[in-house]
Order: sequence, then C-alpha cells, then structure tokens
Amino acid sequence: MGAPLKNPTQAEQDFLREFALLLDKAPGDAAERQAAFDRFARAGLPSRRVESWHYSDLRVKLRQASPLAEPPDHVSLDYARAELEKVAAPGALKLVSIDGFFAPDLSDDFSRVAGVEIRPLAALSNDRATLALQADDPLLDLNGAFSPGGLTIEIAAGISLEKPIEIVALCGANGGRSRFSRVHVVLGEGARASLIETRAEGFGGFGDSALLLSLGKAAELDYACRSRDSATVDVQTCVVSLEAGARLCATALVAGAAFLRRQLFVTCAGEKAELHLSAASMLTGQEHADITLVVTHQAPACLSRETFKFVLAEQAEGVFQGKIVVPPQAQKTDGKMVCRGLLLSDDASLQAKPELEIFADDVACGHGAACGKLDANQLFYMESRGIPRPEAQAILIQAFAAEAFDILRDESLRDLLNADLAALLQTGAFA
Amino acid sequence: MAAVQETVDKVKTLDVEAYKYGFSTDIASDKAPKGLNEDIVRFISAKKNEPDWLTQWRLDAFRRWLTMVEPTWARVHHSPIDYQDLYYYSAPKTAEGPRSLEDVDPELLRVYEKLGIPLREQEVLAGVQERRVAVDAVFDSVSVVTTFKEELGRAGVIFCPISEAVHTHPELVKKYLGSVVPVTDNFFATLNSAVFSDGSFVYVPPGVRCPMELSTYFRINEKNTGQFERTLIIADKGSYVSYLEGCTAPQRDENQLHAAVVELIALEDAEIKYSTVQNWYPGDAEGKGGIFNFVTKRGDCRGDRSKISWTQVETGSAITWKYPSCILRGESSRGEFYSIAISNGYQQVDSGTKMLHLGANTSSRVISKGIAAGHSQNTYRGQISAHRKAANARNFTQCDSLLIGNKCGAHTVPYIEAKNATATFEHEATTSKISDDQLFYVMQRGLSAEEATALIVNGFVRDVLQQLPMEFAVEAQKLIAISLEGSVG
Repeated sequence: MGAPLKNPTQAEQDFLREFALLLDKAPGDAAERQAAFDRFARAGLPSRRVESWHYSDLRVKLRQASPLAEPPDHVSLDYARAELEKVAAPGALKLVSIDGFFAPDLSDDFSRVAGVEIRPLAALSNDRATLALQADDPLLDLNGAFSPGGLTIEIAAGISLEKPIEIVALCGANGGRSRFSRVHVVLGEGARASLIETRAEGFGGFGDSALLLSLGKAAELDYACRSRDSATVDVQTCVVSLEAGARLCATALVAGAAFLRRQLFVTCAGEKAELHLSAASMLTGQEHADITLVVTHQAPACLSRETFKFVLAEQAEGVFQGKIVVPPQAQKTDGKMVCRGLLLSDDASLQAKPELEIFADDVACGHGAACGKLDANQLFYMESRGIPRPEAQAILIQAFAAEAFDILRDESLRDLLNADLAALLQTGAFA
Repeated sequence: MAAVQETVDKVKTLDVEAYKYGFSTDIASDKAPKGLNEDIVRFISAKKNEPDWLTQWRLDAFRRWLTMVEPTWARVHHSPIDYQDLYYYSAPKTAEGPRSLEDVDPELLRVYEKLGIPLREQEVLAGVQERRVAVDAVFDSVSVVTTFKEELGRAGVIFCPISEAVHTHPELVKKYLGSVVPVTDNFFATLNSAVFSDGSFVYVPPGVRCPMELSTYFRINEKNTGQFERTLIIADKGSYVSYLEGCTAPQRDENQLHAAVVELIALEDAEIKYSTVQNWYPGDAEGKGGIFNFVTKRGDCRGDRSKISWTQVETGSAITWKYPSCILRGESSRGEFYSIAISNGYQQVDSGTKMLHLGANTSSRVISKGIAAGHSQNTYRGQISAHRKAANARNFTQCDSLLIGNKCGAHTVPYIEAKNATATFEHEATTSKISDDQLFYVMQRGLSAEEATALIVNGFVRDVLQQLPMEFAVEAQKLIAISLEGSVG
C-alpha cells in the first residue's frame, strides 16, 4: 500500500478496504489504479478547510462509503430498461450504463454509424490518464482508482454526426451503492457532434463520475448535461481539452440534487479555441448544488464565456466557484464569466466566488455576479394583464434559467433542455 | 498595443532604490531585548505603567498566539518570519514625556520636516488656516506629541495615544478595546494584542462633529523593530470624525514586520471616515527587503444609520495583507471601501474588504482599483455576505485591474454569500490593459503617448481619489506619480 490516510474517516477507511478487494480483480493497469488511489489517499476526502471545496464539505457529508456497485443482473437490467423509457431523449443514439457499467443490451448499435467508434476500455489508457491529470482533484483520483473500465467514444476526423449521442447513466435495482464511471469522448480534427449526458441515478449512495472531452483541431461539440433528481451524494467531474480553433458549447440543467458537486476543468490548449459554458441549477427543499469550474487559457487568443444561473427555493443552497486562469503566454485572451442567482425564499442561499487569475497584460477579462429576488415590477406587470401569479412567476423563472441554454448551436438539444425546464416548472416546485 | 515601451522602460528604471523617503535617523532608542516571551509582554506592559487588567489581556493574547499558526491562504510569498529575531519594543529616548514642541528631539522634528508633516502648530496655522490638521505623530512606537489637543478638548473630542487613554479614560478603553477585533481574531491580530506598542485613541462625544481632520503619521525607523500599532476610534451617537493615516518608512535591507490593528466603532447616526496613504519601503529592485504589512482593520457599524468609510491608497510595502472591513450591524447602516493598490517591482499585494451585512436595510459599496507593473502580484480578495436577518441588504462591488507589462499578475477573488432573498448583490470585475481605442482617441487630440497614458491612469483611479480628504488627495497623487513614474508623467 502506498500513502497512508491521515486520521481516516469511516468513509475513507471503507474506500481503503474496498480498494484492497478490488485491486486484484479490476481490469486494466493495477499500478495506475494504485497511483490514483495513493494520490487520493494523500489528499483524503476534501473538507471545508480545502479552499476549492470550502462550501461542499464532503468529509462531513459522506459519513461512510456504500459498498461498490456490482455489474447489473437481470433484475437491474429490467429495472433500468423501464427507467430508460422515461428519461431518454428522443432521436438520439444511446449509450447506456447501469451503476457505471456499460450495458450494451440497452444501448444502440454503433457499428453501423460511420465514423464513430465505441471502445469499452479495460485500462486507463495513457491519454486518458494524462488528460485526467490536468485536473488535480482527489475525487477524480478516486474515480481513477475505482472506475470499472469505462468507454471511449471516438469520432473520426472530418465527420459530422447528424444525430446526437446520448450517454444515459442509470441506477440498478439495488440502490445505495458507490458508483464510479468514466467516459472519454474524442473528436478528431474538424469533427462535429452533439452530446447529451442524461444522469438519472437517484437512489442514494455515492456517485463519482468522470467525463473527459478531447476536441481536436477545429472540432466542434455541443454538449448538454441533464442531471436529474440525484437523491445521493454525487460528484460529477468533466475534464476538457481544446485544440486550436476547437469550439465547445457545454451547458447543464441541474434539476434536483441532494448533494451535488459538478466540477469542470477546461484547458484551452490551442490558439483561438472557443469555449461557451453555462448551467441552470434549479434547487428546492434542502438541496445543495456546487458548480465549480477552472478555465485555463494555455494558448493565446482563446475566447471563453461562462454563464451560470441558480434558481433557489425553500432551503436550497447554490454554490458557484469559477476561476479563469491566464498564464503569461496567453495574450489576447477574451474571458467573461457571469453568475446570477435568483433567491425565491428567505432561507435559500447562494455562495458565489468568481475568480480571475491573470498573468498576461494584453487581455480582456471580466466577471460579474449578482443575486436577488424576482422583480416585483415584472410580476405586477404580468398580474395586471391577467396572468395568475404562479404562472407569471414560472414565466419569469423560465426566462431567467433558459438563457443558459442559448449558447447551444444544436437546436434539438436546446429544445430538449427547455422542455425539461418547462416540465420541472409545471410540477409547481418553484411556484 | 501594450503600455508604451517608453513607459515600461521607465517603470523598470524607476528603481525602488530611488525610494524618496529612504533615509534613517539616529536617535537613541530604548529597546526591549530581541525575541518574544511572557517576560517581554510584561516588560512592554510595565514600560507603559499599564493597569493589571491590560497586562492580563496581553498575556492571554500571547498564550493564545502560541497556539496559532501563520495563515497561508493569501497570494503572497515570503521567507519565513522568525518571530524570535525581532525587537518588540522600541521608544524614542526621552526622560519624560515632552511638554512642548521645544522639548522634542530636534532630530525628530527634522525627520518630519523631510516628510513634509506640518507638525508645528504655527506652521499649520499659518499655512492652512481653513483646514487644520491635528497630528498625533507616531515615531516608531510611542506617540511623541499631540497637537491641537486644546481645541479638540473644547469640542470634547479625545485624541491621544492609546497608552495615555488607558490611564485617562480606562472605562472607554476597557469597554471598546478588542470589541471589534477580538483577541482571538487571527494570527497577526492576536500577536498585536499581546505586544501592541502604541497608537491613536479617538473618542468623539455624542452629536459632535470633529472640528478638524485627525491625522497620524506612522514611521518605522528603528532597525528590526516590528511595529504594532493599535488604533481605536469611537464615534458616539450622531458624531462625525475623519481620520487620516499616512505612512512612510526609511529604507531597510531586512524585512520589517508590521502588524497593526485598527478598530472603529460607530454608534447610532455616527460616521467615521478613515483614509490611509501607505508608502512603506517596498524592497529593492530584486525584491529584497521591504516592509511586511499584515494589518487587521475593521469597523463596526454598531448603531442604526451609522456609516463607516475606508479609503486607501496602497503604494508601498513588500507585502501588503490588509482587508479593511465593515460589520454592518445597525439597521440601515452603511459601509464603504475605496481602494487604489499600486504594485511595482516585486511587491505583493493581497488586499480587499469584507462587508458583513447583519442588520436590515444595510448597504455597502466597494470600489477597488489595482494597478500592477514590473514583477508584482496584485490580488483583490473580498467578501460580501448577507445574514438571514439582513433584509434588503444592498451591495455594489466593482474591482478593476490594470496591467502594465507582462511579468506582473492581477487577480480577483471575490466571495459573495447571500443568505437572504431580499438581498441584492452586484459584483463586477474587469482586468485589462489600457485600451488602444482610448490611447488612440487621446493621442489624436495631440497628446503624446506618455501624456495619454497618464491621463487614462488618472481617470482609472479617479473614483477613489475623489473620496480622499483634500490634504491626502494631493499626497496620494504625488505617491501615484512616484510609484508609476513614466506612465503618469
């Protein structure tokens, strides 16, 4: 065993035990897993004393680690099949995982889709490991240690996909497990695609997923994440690398999250890469969602735009931590980050920390953060025209949140998220 | 186009060796031995004939300090500070407290003359009759002389060294000392509580508008002496006071530690305006030497409708670690923070503010302008938070950074914490260089690149300069010119 845990919590001890059992039977390079686990062990579960986890104290939240999820059996498969009907986006090419295990039976057949190759990856291949290492985060390391293989989706150079690809992460019939999953999407030079990630794992336990995106030169990707009702402690990590001229438009609708940490680490590695990031987090009850992003402009003349929205009702807590890093060589960087919070109740809270870290002089970087309640004048305007108050409120919230989806180029993805949002507002949770 | 090459060169050649106030004066001084232990704390306390409760207070702080570790979260890097290798007490040697200016060591007066402090009453009266300034000069650690005491006395304003206030107004000191910055607050504040040497004490009675601007000039003079000022300002109901703090220090090769604590208390309807111009030795061209400035400044708007306003111009110090804050406790109270932070050479600035909205209808405004040149790092770090009871809290924050040259860095770390739906917070930050459009516009009207840059930089910091009292605005403009000579002509 490598680095020892210092004063391990129950959860850390659980992970240590599970890892010892897993190491012999897990696929792939055991040394790499061990290295990943050692890195995790050195840091331990992050607490509020760790600056980047200050508002999401995982050490306290994760009292104990649930047992590792097993590959799905028939019961789980049937259960997941029924779930799939409910959540999947229409018209997309589906890749389904259950508890982090790829389920070919439920997935579409990609062998006939030209230019797309799906490889179940047994080992953490070198490029994946390198990309993941760009983000220094204990939960990503934990994912590396435990992830049961995973998938690589490779879209060949010059290919333009007509249909979006949808990654559907489902939960098996046995809830309350620790789930780890890892997907790597690679776009070759000039490739274009749309990606939907649908996460519907609401079943308790612990989730730690990683999505790695590598965009080759001038590749373009639209990416929409739908994170639904995760009644669990959930950590979603997204690591992105953009080559020269590549463009990523990534958004997310976070609807319901018992305790969610969604973290994005983006590196603009090539010149003139373009990055649009956004998310709308709709939280109520005692939900907690923490959106953390670090955008590093490694190359000159890249553009980044970040727009993050929070709608918070009841005792919900929203956290936004955004950081734009501009090293000395990244001249002509154009970065702009905005965080907006809408507080619907006196007990809701928003913590925002938009950071700039700039070492180059010829840049235009800015950030803005604002929070407040619904504008009484706007509500009055609508009510005076005969729109009942709950409806007026829903219209204003929809308009506020949907702005996050405007960055998407692919209209079908935008429509999908807007429909999700409308359905959510109809439940009356935000009335 | 980056800042004109001329400017960059000029800034480069503007060696901080050319530090204008880099001279040191030999005055026999009375020192405690090097190092820090309970005996030293007792020695300092005994030197000042302090009452027993204060000695105990210091000792409690010292014992607490022993259990604390130095904070590392700020974006500043420095060689470790050996707290046992410093003198914690040094007082200019005079047998008894000077009774008049004639008694003051003439050497000392000459130092002030070099600094251009209008210490002599006659001079002040002759020169600026309209706007008189009362100076409580702090030379190293002990306040030497306080002018205008009589006129202030007529208004009922108490303005004296805190060591004197301990004896003359023990009830006020006991009531308010440590009530804003508690002994346990942070590493440097706790250290200050244990060993604070002297500082100013101001009490403005109810309904009194202080008849003049109060001013203290700080000066670190003795080699290897950490200076631990303690300032306490109390504005009673309905009163107003404006306090100026100006700092210059002679050139030194070794790092000097400065850990001051400033506490402001504003009761109902009171207003305190606290302005600082800080120009301590920033270190030489290689970044050696210079002052380490770890300051805890906090104001407490304790009464309803009270107001505290901080204005600072930071041009000196190797390391600046300073977050003047406002606790907005009273209903409808207001906090303001205006800051210009200029860093050059190898200076590191980590500064900002905290606005803690606790009461209903509280409002705050933060305007921060950072200018980074040379190899310096300039960080704004601020926290705005609204408590659950802070209904209708309102904040506006703007922090802009200007970069001159590509070896410096400008960073912004704002924390915005809203726990109340009726709170409205707005935060804006930009980082840029001087825009080509602006330069072009000004230059096509016949100004040289240099003059154009000057004009734009002046415009960039104007919002803050306007907040300074007249006496300081002039000095601040001079300082900005010195700090960024070349770009501001």
